Amino acid sequence: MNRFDALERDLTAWFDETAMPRRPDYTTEIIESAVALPQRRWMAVERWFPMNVVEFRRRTFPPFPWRTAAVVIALLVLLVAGLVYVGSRPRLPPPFGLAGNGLVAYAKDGDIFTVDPASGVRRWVTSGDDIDELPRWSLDGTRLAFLRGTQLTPADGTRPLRRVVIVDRERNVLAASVSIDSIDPDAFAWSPDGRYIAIGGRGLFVVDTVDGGLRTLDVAYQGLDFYWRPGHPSELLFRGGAADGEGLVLVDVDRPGSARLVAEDGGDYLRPNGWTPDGRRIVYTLLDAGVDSTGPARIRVLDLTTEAFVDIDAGYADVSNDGTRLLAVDHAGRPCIASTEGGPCVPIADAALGHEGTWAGGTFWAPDDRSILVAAAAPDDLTLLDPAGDITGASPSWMADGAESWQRVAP
Amino acid sequence: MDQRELVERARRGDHDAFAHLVEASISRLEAVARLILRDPELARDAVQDAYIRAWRDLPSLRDPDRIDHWLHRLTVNASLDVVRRRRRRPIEVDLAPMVSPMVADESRHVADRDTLERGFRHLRPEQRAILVLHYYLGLPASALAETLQIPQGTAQSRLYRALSDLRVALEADARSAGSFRQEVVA
Repeated sequence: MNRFDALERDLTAWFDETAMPRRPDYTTEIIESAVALPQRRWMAVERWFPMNVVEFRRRTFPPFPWRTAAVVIALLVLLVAGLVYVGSRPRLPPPFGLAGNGLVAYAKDGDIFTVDPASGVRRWVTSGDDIDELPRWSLDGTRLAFLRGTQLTPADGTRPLRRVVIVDRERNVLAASVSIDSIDPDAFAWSPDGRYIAIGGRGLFVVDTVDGGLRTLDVAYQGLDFYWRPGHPSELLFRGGAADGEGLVLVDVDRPGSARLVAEDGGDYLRPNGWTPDGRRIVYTLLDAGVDSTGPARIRVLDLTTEAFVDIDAGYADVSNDGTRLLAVDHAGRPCIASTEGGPCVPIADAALGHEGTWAGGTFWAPDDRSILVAAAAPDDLTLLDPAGDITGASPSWMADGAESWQRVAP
Repeated sequence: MDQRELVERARRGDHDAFAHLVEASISRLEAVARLILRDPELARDAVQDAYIRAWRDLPSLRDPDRIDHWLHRLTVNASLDVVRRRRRRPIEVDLAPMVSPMVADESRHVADRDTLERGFRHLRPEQRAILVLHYYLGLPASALAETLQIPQGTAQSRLYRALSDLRVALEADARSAGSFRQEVVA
């Protein structure tokens, strides 16, 4: 046997050893994903009629104008090439306002997955021994950030160290930060232009998504969720202190010392809930500070320019993408919808389907605002609500394993 | 029920028939994807893509008897698509051995396997695919041509070229190992 033969023999043996056929444990999932899609129809004429009844006639035609046709074809080629060029450029959604619904990302058993609500098709984004969690899509839907740690809880009882990892839609790792001590999983937000990710924990951190650089903002951050200002790529609203008091603070993360109070606590304890998409009005909840923040809550929508505001008799707002509505919790614990212009908060489901309003990851509007995903008491207890209240408590099969961040795509 | 009847029923939208076809073929196709891609996760993606395409396009399959070749083609194409999509993704997943070594001389075997692994990774995915189809599935040149939709002569020349390139890679690897040993001795 010559050397060439030996190589063929070794190659066959190696293939047989390293790829012993086995039934993958995801076989059933693949079948279900496939048959959930419609089949393409086959339109060839012989598909519908026996070939012997399909008659092909020979016809005579007038002389064909080849020169004219060549010019027309050349023009068409140019037109198509132009359209292909334009069409090949990805269409991105605006960072704020209504968008189309893309993939939903979630973490399960330490790995990140995406699921397409339209087809139910699931895909792995990460796997391995690391604990990956808290996936969050960038506002233009092109990147996914998540936290990566090596263990859930260190043996010494301290909170785990985790890094921020950023991948694109093809799962290419674009950047990763250094490890961060003690991250609040509810405080994790992409900036409007996708340059930064703000993270809350023992301090307020900003990760540069280009190179993974990490810095700690020199501000008196008091925990809780925070919100980037639409139209202002480096301004962040958070609860904390400034030179002139405590309450809601606006800071330009690129300008040290720029923190200023925009809403003072007074007799209440203020909790930020978001912005309207024009970047003019802030939305926050006022809790009665005198009874350990457990008294009836109010929502305030405050115009930062005119200082005009409206109050709504509910708490813990979540602003719709178009900025016209708020999902909130009424005093009976029911999820309710109110206008950002004021007025009553109308319940859309009973209290059992309401979120507790105590954590930012508990609810989010679908990018098209046609549904609201609510995580109720238990993180795995997910419900899809209709803002109009027509459907209460739907739990589609695609969200069975989790749903944490909904990708925005071009409408 | 024979395979032809299963294909006919699946073409008409029968979920159970499609499930039978998947169950009958997925072990083989997953192994093919795994060999081409050298990554079980990516293989999973490729197999999923292949079966989704298979289900959607089954009504266009003219000859139910060619289902195996067709599935092989879909799997190879899906695997190559996965490679194109992951161009910049760093390898983060350990490629753990999938079965235990089966020969007595384990140290020599592992060394050979590692050498083959390195050499195989040097090949382009298209070359890996044709080697897998021929040396793993045992497809002759005519079937390679049909599966890859290329002329038979082209299939033969690509197979020969892939094997030659693998041999070159192995020889380069051997030279590299030899020079390393010399450095250690010195």
